[in-house]
Amino acid sequence: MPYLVSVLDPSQRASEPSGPDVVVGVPAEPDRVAASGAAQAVQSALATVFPERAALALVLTDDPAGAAPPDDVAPTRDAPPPMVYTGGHVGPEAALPTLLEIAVAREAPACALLEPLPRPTDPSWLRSLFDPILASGFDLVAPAYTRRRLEGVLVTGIVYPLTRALFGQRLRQPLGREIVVSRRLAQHLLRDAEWHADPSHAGADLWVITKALAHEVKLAQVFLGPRPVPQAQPPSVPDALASVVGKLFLEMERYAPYWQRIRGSLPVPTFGDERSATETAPAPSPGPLVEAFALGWRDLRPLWSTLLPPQTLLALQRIPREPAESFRMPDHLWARIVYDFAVGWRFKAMDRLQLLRSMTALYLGWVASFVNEVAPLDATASDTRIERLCAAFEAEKSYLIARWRWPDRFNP
Amino acid sequence: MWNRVQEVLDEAFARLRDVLAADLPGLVAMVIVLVGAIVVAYVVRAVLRVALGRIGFDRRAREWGMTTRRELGEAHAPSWLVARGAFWFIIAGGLALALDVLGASTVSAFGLSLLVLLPKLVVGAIILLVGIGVARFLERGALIGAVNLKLQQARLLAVLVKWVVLVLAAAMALDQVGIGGQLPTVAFAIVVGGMVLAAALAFGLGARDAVARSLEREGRGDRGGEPREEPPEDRIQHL
Repeated sequence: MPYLVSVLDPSQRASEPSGPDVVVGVPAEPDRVAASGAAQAVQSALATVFPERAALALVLTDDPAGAAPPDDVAPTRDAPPPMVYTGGHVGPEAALPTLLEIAVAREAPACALLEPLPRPTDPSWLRSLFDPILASGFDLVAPAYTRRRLEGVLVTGIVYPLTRALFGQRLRQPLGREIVVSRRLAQHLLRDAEWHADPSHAGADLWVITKALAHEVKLAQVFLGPRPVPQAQPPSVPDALASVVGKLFLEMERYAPYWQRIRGSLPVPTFGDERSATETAPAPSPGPLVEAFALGWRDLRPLWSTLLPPQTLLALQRIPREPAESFRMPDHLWARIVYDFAVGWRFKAMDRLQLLRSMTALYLGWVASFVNEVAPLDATASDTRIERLCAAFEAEKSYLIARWRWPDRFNP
Repeated sequence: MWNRVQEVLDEAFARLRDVLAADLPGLVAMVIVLVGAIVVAYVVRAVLRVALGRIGFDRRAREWGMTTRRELGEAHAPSWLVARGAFWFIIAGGLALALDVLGASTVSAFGLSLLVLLPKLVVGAIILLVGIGVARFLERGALIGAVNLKLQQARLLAVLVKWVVLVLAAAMALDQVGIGGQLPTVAFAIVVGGMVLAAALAFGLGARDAVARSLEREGRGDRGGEPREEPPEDRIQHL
């Protein structure tokens, strides 16, 4: 790919100032116009916050027709950012390896993959993203946004507590699609064989984060305030649950020898304000969620009984459904359910996609319980409530380890 | 008189000797075929058990829903059942061949017909087994999908899916074995046609009011014009 080669080759950049670069990539798909605009804004911001560095913003596209020849890829204030074809890589996450290749070839100390979002006019947010790597020696920075209590419920209920209990690090938003990495980590990631072995999974956000967590990379999280536009929501909850939890279970299986040695958790160095945003809208009624759970209990119980031990089924049966506002699913029960599904997924107790999709009703039941519990709470109390949930996941980890190692012998 | 008795006995022993001389090779061949079949059956059973164990046949059968229980006795594991099926298939084949080797006309005809029928029976059994696996897999998928769509009749829908596939598999198996001529095909068409008709009637009658309301709204021209209240669960952002 000649365009890519000319971007990679530092000899093509005779007019640039010497010294290391900061590279920022913005994926062009699905909205090329927004991506171009965002990259342009990032380019201007980079010139402002890093006047001493040769910073570069790129648009990464998987459409070869859209990649214009980057005759001059040197950062300028006015020229549009070059559009680079990700053709050397396949799969939905092709932007990341392309960005890493460019950053490593240019010997950039840091590079970032950012979503095309409208950004604050004050460019200091960009400095806060790169400073932990450029000034403090971190290898990975996970950008995060302040969220309300009912935003990112799947992350709050499963992804965050589970990754925290498994890997022992309190990274609040491990699903963020944005990432900042150091040159050392970029080189390490590029050497990974999974780019070729499993291109559909390699490069996904959870893949990078769990790799960093399992390899004890020095990581930090930076809170950038409220998200400028709401996160795009999946059209179907079962599909989103199956996709996210499936990826998580896959990483869990890969790093089983590592996480079985971890106990407890430690805070991740955090920059910015981590506290949840104040909720303004009233909490939704939990009725439909409880009904979904009750329907699942009625019809899917025979399926669940192949995954969940009798003690868990009994505990689920004892939860009163009415009134819906008093519906509560205890934390330790929810933690065990998630762990039991992970064990069932590992041992293929049934078709894996069916297994993950059958978890939806249980998840909606937990969401109902969570809605009921946090509805009267303020932001600080909600954070405390989430902390209690995470503590339950950590406390039940011995149960997970026992079932993971001896699924049939340890069956309470 | 004793001479006459001696002659009769000699004639009887001579006839017996002739019969034995004529039939003994066939009998010996039959015994050899039977013993050979038994030995081959045991060997095949042992090989199948090891091979199916190595490829994780039991796990795959569990994934496909052919078994549901976590704790199955060894004798009820799918790999054991397949191995035992192969064992008895070879025994039956050996028996048919042995009867054919014996050479007696009636017995040979029976053995030949058994030899012709056995492969069809096996293919029919395989079709039925695969059908059962597919039926249970699709039943589970339909049940989970319907529950996730919050359909109250999820279980009924899943059972319908299972029985359509089971009836189809049974019709195909019977057709393969050659039992019943065209009857299985006709029966299948009738059963599936009846199910579709029943489902259409149930849906039509059940959704009559909803369709009427929808048509009424269309007639008033307020399609989508009236702001709908957002369902409560939509105010929750999962990602």
